[in-house]
Amino acid sequence: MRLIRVSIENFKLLEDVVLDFSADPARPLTVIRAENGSGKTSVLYALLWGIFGMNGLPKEARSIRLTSSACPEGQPVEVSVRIDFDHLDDNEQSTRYRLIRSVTETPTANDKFDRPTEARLRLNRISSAGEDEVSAPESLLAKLLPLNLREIFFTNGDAVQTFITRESSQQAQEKVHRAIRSLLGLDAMRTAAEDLDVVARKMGSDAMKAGGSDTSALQKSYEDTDAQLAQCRADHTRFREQLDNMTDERSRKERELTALRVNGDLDDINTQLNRIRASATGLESAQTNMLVRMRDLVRSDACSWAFLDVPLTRAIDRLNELADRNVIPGTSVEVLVDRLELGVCICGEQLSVGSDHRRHVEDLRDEQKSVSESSERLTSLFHQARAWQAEETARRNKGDDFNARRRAVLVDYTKNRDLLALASREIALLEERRAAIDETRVQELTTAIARIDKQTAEHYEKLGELGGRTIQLEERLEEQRRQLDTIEKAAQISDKLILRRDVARDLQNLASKTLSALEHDYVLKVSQRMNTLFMQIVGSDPEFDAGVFTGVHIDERFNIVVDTHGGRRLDTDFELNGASQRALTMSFIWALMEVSGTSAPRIIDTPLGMVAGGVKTRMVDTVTKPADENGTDFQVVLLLTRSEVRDVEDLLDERAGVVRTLSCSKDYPVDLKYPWGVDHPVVRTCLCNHRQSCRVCARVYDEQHGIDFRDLEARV
Amino acid sequence: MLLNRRIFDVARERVLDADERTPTYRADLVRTLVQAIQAQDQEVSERGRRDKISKMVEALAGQVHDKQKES
Repeated sequence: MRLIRVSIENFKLLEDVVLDFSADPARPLTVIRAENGSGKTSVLYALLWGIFGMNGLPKEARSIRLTSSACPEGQPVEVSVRIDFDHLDDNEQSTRYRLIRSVTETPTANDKFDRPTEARLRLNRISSAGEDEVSAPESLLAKLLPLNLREIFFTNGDAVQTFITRESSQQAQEKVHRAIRSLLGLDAMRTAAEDLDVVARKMGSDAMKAGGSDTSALQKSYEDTDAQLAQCRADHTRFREQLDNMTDERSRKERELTALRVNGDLDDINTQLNRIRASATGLESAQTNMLVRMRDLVRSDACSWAFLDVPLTRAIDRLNELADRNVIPGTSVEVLVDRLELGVCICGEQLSVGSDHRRHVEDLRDEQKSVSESSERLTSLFHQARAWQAEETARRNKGDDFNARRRAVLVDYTKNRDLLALASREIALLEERRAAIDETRVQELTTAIARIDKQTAEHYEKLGELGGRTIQLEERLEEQRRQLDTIEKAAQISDKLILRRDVARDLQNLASKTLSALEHDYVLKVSQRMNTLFMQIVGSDPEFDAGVFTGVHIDERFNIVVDTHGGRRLDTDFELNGASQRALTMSFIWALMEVSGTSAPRIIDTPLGMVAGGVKTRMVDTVTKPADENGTDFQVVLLLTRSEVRDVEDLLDERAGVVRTLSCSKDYPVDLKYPWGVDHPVVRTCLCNHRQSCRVCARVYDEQHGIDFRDLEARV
Repeated sequence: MLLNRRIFDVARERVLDADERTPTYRADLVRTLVQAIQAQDQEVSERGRRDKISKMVEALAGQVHDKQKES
């Protein structure tokens, strides 16, 4: 299918818009330039609605009002999309068609609508003789553009990016499988191969039955073996598929486990925690001992000497001085008591009881007694001080002074304290990492992986058994086949029946070989072409070690796989940037359509949103390059904003056969430079290309970007 | 059908393995295979489709038989 022209009336803000498409194989690109909110998506939806009806629109848009919300309530509006296109049939004959889908919609209150009848579809075949209405238009359109492939033909940048990502990988890959099966005709070919297989068996059976009871019995036996072989092969395929699914499941679980273990392995963390906690306990105990050492040191004489060395020395000097002066030790009380007991004074006079002299000596004794308590204390202090001083001198002579001990205990304490703080930090960090690990899920995943590994081993064993059984059955079948051939020649079977059976077998063989070629050789061609295009767009060199990608391929299950160094596969969801995701989808679609020879248009709304620099240029270059001599001509329609156009203007000059610009009146005066004199929002198209502007489309920033203003109203 | 052209190309390559029972036999096989695929568009039921294919095979076998007899 090649689009020629679309005429849209009253579809959203597209009141009356006509767009032509480039049908020139040498310039396959059509550019529709439009800023955000200027009708790009409406054009895409109008095309989808025109071709597929409401089912063609994205799910969330299927209940939308088709008319503009500016249409007055209660007044019926005719919405219509007319598409002119060419189709090249199997005989390489081109036919022009005109498709018209229309519906009457009456806007009601609150942006609701009334659409009493389904949309009408008319498809006319146009020839020089006039227009001829196609009787089953939906059926023909479904053949030309299957509804389930609309995402391949009509898409937008976001959908391109999420085509192979976002949804569950199974769903995303299912879209890839569907596209491959449909565009390479695998489903149709497989059905034909199965049909022909059944027909060939039936004809073989009919021929043998006609040969009498011996051939009939042998044929029956042959068919039984064949059925067993088919069952065996089906079981092998089933087990193989289960094995593949288990491999996928295992790798999904392994990936989740790795993600959970990004903070480390739980067992490792627990081991580390136990070790560090034991070490911390030892450090705490050492700290307690050091505090005892410090306390003892503070309580020691050495501490007093360290702090009170000068006053103590002075005090001892004073005590020595008192001793030198014989003030201490004091002895007068004992002498006086002694004299009183002897009754003789030191002067020789008698100290008779009641004598004045005795009373004088007794008074003297009492007076000396009060002085002697201080003297005793001083004496005691004198002796003690001398002993302390001797000890301190001895300690100092041994080099055991307080400051050295203090420094030693402080160094030990500080070191221990720092080690304890470090251990505490490590414990906190490990506990934080451990808390981040969902232990239950880790356990579940570990158990599930172990279970899958066990099942995988069992499946391999079963596959081995089935492989052996298959070989046995093939050998038996071959033997029975030889016997049948021998017996068939002897039997009187009609040539016609034999020929009919042989023709059916030839056809069945041809169908199987064709299917096999499509499934293997052609999928491989798609895979190789996709790889070339992708590597071209992302600018990656597989031989260059610093490159992220070494290639992309389609595996035997039709899954798209992104390869990187070391034989590893990249996760398309998390390990591919937006531009690469877009590049991958576009490479796949382009490769598939190229290899399948599909000539349907490829229409993409805002494809370059997240793409810039070299990737952008190479992407545009790749998807707009005209087909070579042997390739199938194609058509690509890009709906681009001005910023998407920027930096690829030269490529558009070269590749675009048609460029049109869409603008919306609502953008005046903020973005649009000139008023249109309309009282409601409406989208118009003009003939300006990607380097031009006019009174319809000129925007306030155009001059800054070198857009050439043409002072005319170039409305289509 | 949108896809028959590629299938047609592949079948034309693969048919070269078949015996050329008549001068046009290989081309006839390819044409009949394409018709068998097209039967999927025309016949909704599996049985109807296989009956139709059986008739195609019978017709082709008949042609081959006649041509072989002629020669």
